[in-house]
Amino acid sequence: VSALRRQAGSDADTVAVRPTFESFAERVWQPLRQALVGALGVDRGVEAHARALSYAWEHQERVMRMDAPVAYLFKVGRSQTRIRRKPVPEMFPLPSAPEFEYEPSLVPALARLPEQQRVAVFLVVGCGWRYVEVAELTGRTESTVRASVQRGLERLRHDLNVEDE
Amino acid sequence: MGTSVEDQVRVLATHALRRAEQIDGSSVREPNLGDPSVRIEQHAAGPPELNSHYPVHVSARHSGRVRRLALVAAAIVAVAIVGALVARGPDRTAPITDAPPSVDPGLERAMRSRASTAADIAGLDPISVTATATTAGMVVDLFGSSSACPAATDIVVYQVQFDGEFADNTTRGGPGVAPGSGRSVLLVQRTPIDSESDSCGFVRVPPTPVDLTAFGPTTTLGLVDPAARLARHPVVGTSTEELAFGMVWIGDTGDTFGGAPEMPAGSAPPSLQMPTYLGVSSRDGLTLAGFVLSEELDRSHMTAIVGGDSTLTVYDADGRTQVGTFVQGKGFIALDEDPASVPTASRTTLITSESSPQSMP
Repeated sequence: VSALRRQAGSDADTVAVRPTFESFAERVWQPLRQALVGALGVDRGVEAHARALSYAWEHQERVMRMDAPVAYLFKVGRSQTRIRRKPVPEMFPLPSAPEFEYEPSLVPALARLPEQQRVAVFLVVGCGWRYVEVAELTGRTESTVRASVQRGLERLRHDLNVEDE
Repeated sequence: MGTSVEDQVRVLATHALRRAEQIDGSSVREPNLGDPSVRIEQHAAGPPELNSHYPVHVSARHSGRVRRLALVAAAIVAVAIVGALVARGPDRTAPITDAPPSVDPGLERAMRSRASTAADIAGLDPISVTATATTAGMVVDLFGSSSACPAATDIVVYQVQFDGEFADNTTRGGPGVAPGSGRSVLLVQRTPIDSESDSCGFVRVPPTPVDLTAFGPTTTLGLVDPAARLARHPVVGTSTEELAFGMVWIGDTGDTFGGAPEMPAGSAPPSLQMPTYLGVSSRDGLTLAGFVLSEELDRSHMTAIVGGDSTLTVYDADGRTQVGTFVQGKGFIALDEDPASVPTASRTTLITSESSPQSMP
C-alpha cells in the first residue's frame, strides 16, 4: 500500500518536475557531450555523457540549482568512467571512408596531448567554444585556456610536421 | 592534406561527435535536443574569427622550466604513491557477495549504490538488490534462460556494467545486445505476472534518464533492446487509459522476450517472415498492439519513442518517421487516420521504410 501511495505521489511530482528537467537537459546536453567527447574520446565520452545526465536526473534538485552545471557534470562523467587499468581504447576512431578528411596521425597526436590541452583544443578549435566558456568548464582562467590551446596546437603541428603559422 | 591543423581538428571533432551520435543514436532519437554537430558544422564552414590566428609562441626557457618542474612533481607523486601502497599492505576489503572473482568489489559497490538509487527514484519498495555483474559471461548467466532469472517476489534492480560482446543473440531467448553495444545497463524486475515467464529485461541507462516512476505496482518491467536504439526512451508511463504503461520491445517474431507476451495470435503470419516486431504492452501485461517492422528497416538505427501523450514515433535509419498512437484493441493508428474508422480488432500495422502504415488483414 505504501508503495502504491508513493507511486501515486511520485506520479504527481513527475508531472511538475519533468518539463523543468527536460529543459535543463536540453540546455546542458550539447556542451556536455562536446566536452566529454573532447576529453575522453568518443566511446568513453558517450558513456560519460550518459552517466553524467543520469546523475543529474538522480540529483536534479541540487544539480539544477548550480551556477555551472555543465562543469560539474563534466567532472561527474569523467570520474564515473575512470578507466581501471584497461587498454586505452581508440579515442577518435578513424572514419571508414577510404579518403580521410584529416591527417590520420592527428588522431594519436591529439590523444597524446595532456587532457587539459586536448579539451581546450577540441572545444575551442574543434567546436568553436569561446575561451571563457572552456575556462568555466574546467575551472581554469581564460588565459590558461588560451595558453593550453596555443601549446596544444604547437604540439600538434610539431607531431604532424607542420610549420608554425 | 593541404589544410591547417585547426581545420583538421574541426573535421576530426565533427567526425568524433557524429560517431558519438551513431553510438547512442542521439541525433535520431532525440531530435528535439538539438543536433550537436550543428555548431561544429557552422564553424567548419569557416574559421571563427577568434580562431583565425594563433600566435604560436612558447618560450623555450619557460617550456623547459615547466617540464623540469613537472618531472620533479611526478617523481614526488610516484614516491608518495609507492610509499602509501607499501604501508597499506594487501587489500583486506572483503567481497560483498559471492560474486565471481571477476567482479570488481569497488565497482559492485558502486552498482549497488546506483541500483538502490534507481529503485528509490522509482518509489519501489521493498527492494532487493540481488545481483550485479561485470562480465559478459555473467550477464549471459543471468539471461541465458528463464531459470536463470530469479523467481522474484520483490523488485530486483540490477545495475550491470559489461563491456563484452553478445555475439549470440539466441542464447538469451530474445534479441541480444549487439556486439560492442554493451554498456551501462540498468535492470529492473518486478514480480512476474506469470511465474512461468521470464521477466528479466534490461534498460540501458540513457542520456535522458528513464522515468522509473512509470513503473506501476503490477508492471513487470520495461524492456528495450539497445541494439535497436530504444534506449533513449525505453519506458515512459502515460496517464491515458489506452496506454497506461508502455512496454516497448523489439524481438523476433514468435519470441517471448523478457516475459513480454507474444504478439497477438495471427497478427504476424509466419509466411511474412518478418523478423522484427515492436509492441507496446499495457500495465496489466496484455499486449495492446504489435506491429511488424519491415526487414528493410535498419534495426540497429531504429528508434521508437512512446510519448507522454501516447503517441508513438518510429524512426527508421534514415530518419523517416511514422507517427501514430496505440489504441487498445485496434493497434497502431497513424495520426492522419480516424480511429473511429478502424474496426476494433487486433490490428497489425506493417511499416515499410517508404510507405505509410498499412493495415494488414
